[in-house]
Amino acid sequence: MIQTTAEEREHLGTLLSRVAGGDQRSLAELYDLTSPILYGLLMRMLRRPEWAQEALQDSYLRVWQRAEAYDASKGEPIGWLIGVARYRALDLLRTRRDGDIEVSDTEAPEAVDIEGQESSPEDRAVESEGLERLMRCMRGLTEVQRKSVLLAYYEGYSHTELSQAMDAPLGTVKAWIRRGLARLRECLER
Amino acid sequence: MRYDNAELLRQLAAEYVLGTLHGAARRRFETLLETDEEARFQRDFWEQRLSEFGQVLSPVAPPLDVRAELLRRAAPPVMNATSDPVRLPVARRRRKRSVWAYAAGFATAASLALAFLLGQHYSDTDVAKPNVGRSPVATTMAAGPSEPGEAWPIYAAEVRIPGSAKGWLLSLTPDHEHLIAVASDDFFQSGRQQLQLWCLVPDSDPVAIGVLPSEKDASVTFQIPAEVRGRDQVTFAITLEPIERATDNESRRPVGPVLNQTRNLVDAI
Repeated sequence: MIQTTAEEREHLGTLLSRVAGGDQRSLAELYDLTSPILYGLLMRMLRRPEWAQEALQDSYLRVWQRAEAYDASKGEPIGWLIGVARYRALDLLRTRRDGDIEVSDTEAPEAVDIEGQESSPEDRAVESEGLERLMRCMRGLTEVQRKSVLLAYYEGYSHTELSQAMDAPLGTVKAWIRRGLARLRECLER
Repeated sequence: MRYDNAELLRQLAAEYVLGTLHGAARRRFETLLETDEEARFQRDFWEQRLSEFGQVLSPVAPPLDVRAELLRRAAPPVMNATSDPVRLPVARRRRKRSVWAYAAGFATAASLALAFLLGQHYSDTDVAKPNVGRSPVATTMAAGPSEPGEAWPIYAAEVRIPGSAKGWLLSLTPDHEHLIAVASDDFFQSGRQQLQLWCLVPDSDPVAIGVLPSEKDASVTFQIPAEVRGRDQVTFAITLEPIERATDNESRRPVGPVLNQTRNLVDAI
C-alpha cells in the first residue's frame, strides 16, 4: 500500500509543474517515484505485461504533454496520475478485450477479496488514514453494490461483463452500480 | 440527455470515472466536460475519491526499458538532433558524424536484438587480442543525473541475458564522452565469472568496455574508447568472462560465451 507524506505530495506537485514547463529530468524523476504505483494498478487491470507497459508509457507521455492540466487545488498529484493511467487502461480494455480475457470475479494478479478478508485492498486500506473514509463508506454499501464497484474499478468491467461475472441480469447490475455510487457519494460528502 | 439534472450529472460523472459509462454516452459526457464546469467538478470529485483504490495495490516495478523508451519519446529535440543541426550545441555538432550521435535513434531496434550468438564462443583463433579494458570512471546506485539542470543520458541500446528479465541499459552522457550501463536486476554470478561489455566494430578487434554492474539499479560509467568513436557501425556484446581474466588487463581477451549482442546501431553514415 502506498502512503505519501505531505512533503512527498508537495514534491510530486513541484515535479508536475516542472514537467508542464518541459523539464525532462523532472519527468524522469516523477516516473521513478510513481511508476511502480501506476504499473501495479495497470497490471491489475490489464493483466498482460505488454499491455500494462504500453499503457504505462502512454500514460506518462500524456502527463508529459498535458501536465499543465493538473490542478493542485482539485486533488493530490498521485490521484491525478492514477486517473490518467486508469483512463488509458480503460481505453485499451475497450479496444482489445473483446472476449480476449475471460470475465471472472476471482481471477486477478492480486485478488480483490471483497468479502473483507485480511488480504483485500479494502481491509489493508483502512491502515491508511487517507483511505479510511472511502473504505468506511464502502462498508456502508450492500455486498453486491460493493463488489460491483470494486470489480468495475480494478477489472475495468463494463455493465455487461459485471452481469456475467456476478451472474445477474444487466438491469440489476446497473442498479447496483447506480445505487452503490449514490450511497457512496452521500457518505463521502458527510 | 438532460444534463441540467444535477442528480443525473453526478451519476454520469461517477460512472465515467469508474469506467462503466460506455460508448456514445461516454463520448457525449466527454464533450460536455469540455464546456461544463459542473461536470468537470463532479468528475474531479470522483477521480480523487476513487483514486484511493489505486493506492491500495502493491507497487510493481516496471521493466527498465519502458522508462528508457518513454524518455526517448519525450525528448524529440535530442532524438532529432542530427536532422536539425540548428538546435544542436556546438560540441555535439562537431561530433555529428560520430556513431554516438546517432545511437539513440536506433534504440528501439537495438533493444530487439536477440541472442542469435548464444552459445557461440570466442577463442584465440576467432578474434585477435582485444584492446586493454577500461576501468569505470564512476560507479553509483543513481541512474540519473544528480545536479539540477543536468541533462539526462541518451538511451543507446539494451543488452539482456537471453530468456530472462535481467538486462543492462546503455546510455550516452549528453556530452557523448561516456557510456553508462545500468543493471535492471540483480545478477547473481556463478563461480568466478562476471559479465563483460564489449564494443564490436567492423574490421577491428573487439574493444573491451568494462565489467557490467551486477546489482539492481547500480550504474557504471565508462569512458568511451577512442577506437570506437567516429566508427560507422557499432555493436555491443556481453560475454561471461572468468574474473581473473577480466581483471588482468594485459592478458584479457574474450574467452567466455557471447550472451547477447545488439544489432549494428548505425549501418551507414
